[in-house]
Amino acid sequence: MSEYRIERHPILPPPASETIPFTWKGRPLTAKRGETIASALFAHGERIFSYHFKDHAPQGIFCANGQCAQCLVLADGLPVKACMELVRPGAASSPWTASPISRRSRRRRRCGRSRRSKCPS
Amino acid sequence: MRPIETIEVPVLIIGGGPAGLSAAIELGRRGIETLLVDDKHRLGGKLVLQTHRFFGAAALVWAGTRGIDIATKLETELRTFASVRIWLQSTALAVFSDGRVGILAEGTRYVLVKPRVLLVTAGAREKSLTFRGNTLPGVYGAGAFQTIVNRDLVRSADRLFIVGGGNVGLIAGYHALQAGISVVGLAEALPECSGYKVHKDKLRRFGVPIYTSHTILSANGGDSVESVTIARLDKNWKVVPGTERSFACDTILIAIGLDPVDEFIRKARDFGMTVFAAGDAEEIAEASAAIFSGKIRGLEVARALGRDVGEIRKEWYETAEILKSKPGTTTPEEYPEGESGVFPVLHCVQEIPCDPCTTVCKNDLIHLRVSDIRSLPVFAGRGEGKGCTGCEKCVTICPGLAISLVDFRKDPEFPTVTLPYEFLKESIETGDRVTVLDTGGEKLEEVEVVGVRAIKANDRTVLVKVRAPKAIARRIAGLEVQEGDVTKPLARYVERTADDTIVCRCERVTAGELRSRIREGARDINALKAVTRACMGSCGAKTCTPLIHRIFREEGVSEEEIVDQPKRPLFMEVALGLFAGSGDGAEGGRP
Repeated sequence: MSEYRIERHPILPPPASETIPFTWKGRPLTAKRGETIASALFAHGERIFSYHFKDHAPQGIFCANGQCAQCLVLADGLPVKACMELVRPGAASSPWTASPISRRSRRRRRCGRSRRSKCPS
Repeated sequence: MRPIETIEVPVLIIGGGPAGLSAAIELGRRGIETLLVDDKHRLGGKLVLQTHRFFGAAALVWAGTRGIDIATKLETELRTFASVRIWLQSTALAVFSDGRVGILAEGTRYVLVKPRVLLVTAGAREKSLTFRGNTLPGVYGAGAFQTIVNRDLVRSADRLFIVGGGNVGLIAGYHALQAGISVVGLAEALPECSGYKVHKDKLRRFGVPIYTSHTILSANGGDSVESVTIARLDKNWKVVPGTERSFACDTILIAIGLDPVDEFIRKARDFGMTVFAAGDAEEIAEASAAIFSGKIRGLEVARALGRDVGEIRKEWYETAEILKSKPGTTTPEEYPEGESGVFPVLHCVQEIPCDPCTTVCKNDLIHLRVSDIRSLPVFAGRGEGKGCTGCEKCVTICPGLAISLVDFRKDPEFPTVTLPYEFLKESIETGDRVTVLDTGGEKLEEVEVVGVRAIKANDRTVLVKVRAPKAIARRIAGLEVQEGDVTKPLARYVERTADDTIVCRCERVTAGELRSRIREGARDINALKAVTRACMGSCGAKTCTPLIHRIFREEGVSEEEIVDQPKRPLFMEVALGLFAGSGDGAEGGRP
């Protein structure tokens, strides 16, 4: 189902066959059931998970062990570590942006208010 | 709001890897109520990533069995004990002063556990390294690589470069080749790899160049890794100008060592709890050592609860130390005499704790030189009595793929050499021409494959038989699997000019920023935090703190001068709502 899946390995048993749908930046993709978001993204060749709010440096995985938090993504609206969080069927995932500026500006846009007025939410 | 439940339990084990599983089995055998928590969705820890047969003592820690299969054996046994409860996807968050441990249970709810005895078997985390471009996507830990490739069967790379020649880096290279990923090379800063020689030899035989006394200068690329630049180091660890070389690759693995996950132990000791540690959380060593130390610690925990476990034998503690030992002396390889019959050649010349070959010979012809599993094995079968029958069992079981079988019986001029092969069976067939190499990877000759044997009893180890001239037959230790082109350097080396040597990944703080503050006189990590935001990100300073200490060292600041930052009560980031009892799916409920 993707060129990055290892279908045959000399030692390891073949991967599970059951797949579930999810989306990444709105693009429909499939994951294996019980697979982490990080592995599901790698299986589709997605190795850049976000751009850092401070200097826009591209971010990918580092520890894949729940220790470093470099692989944060948004899954159904919540920030999660892509290497630890399993794909939930139908989950909408997207790059994490921790920037308070962009979040505020998003809200402003939603509220349709001008730059200087306060957003009620 | 929901009240937070406190569970009292005799034993809480944090971490279900080799040490935690072994300890829990000992407790389960004695019917002691135990709660085992692990943050992953599967038990076994890093065992489940290991495709190779394990070193160690066959009789004690399943040496000769593949890591992934040891995980299954341990888990199967553990699940037979009703007194042991297992929570997966359960992350220990903190140890509190009242002796309770905060746990995000099964990914959904916050629970406090108050154990009479705490056993920490949380393993290790990979060390990070500073160089230009060190956070580019494509630069990650060797353990991370093994997780994605071997646990999830995803080919995370096409062309791999490895930094670090310990066992983790060497094994990652082997795992890459098994998954069909090219390994461009491996750089090790020391003049010799610190990992087992058999692991290093194996990689070299498969066609992976190993650059000792070399360091990484930069990871290069725009949005992800496109190449790596390395250079030679002199005796004083300084880069030798003019030795820079770059190699095209899409992934760079950092395998420079591990740090124990010891924050839970430290806190528990500070608060006067009864706490034990085993495996890497106690001391970084091989998984076989973790299995054994976990077993001993399980008994010690039972004893701490007042159970009579009898005497824990002194030899066990000695064995635990032996399993942890670093590689010992290397002796020059000697080849057996004789040009008749059949016999094994042991290409095993470095003292490491390993003995499976001595346990499988039905005529008992392979012995250790002295009765210590670290001593070298010898073949004693060329004298009287029943000789070698060519059963191939020793060839199959050697974890280092370091035993070949030379058979002169059919053709004394062109004996058949049997070699172990752990790649896809269909990648080699009778009639193929292959390049054979000696132990250290020196090419010998191109020879013909005369047989490929893949039988169930050999547990996925394929045996390849080649017909070779008698002059080289004994020296053959392996066959080349990776062609040379992929390992060639680029015509010109790539220099990365960006000042992006990152120490704090979460807040993107560079080594340069921290270094200049230290040169201004900063000795207190709290001050560095306040000024630079280093250590203030979501990882909780777990990744950068050792790197900051390293910069202090490089700047000539002694450990005594450094003021450490206080370690927060939470070791993992979670949403605040969790502590108010928000459950699954609620806003802010998941970490």
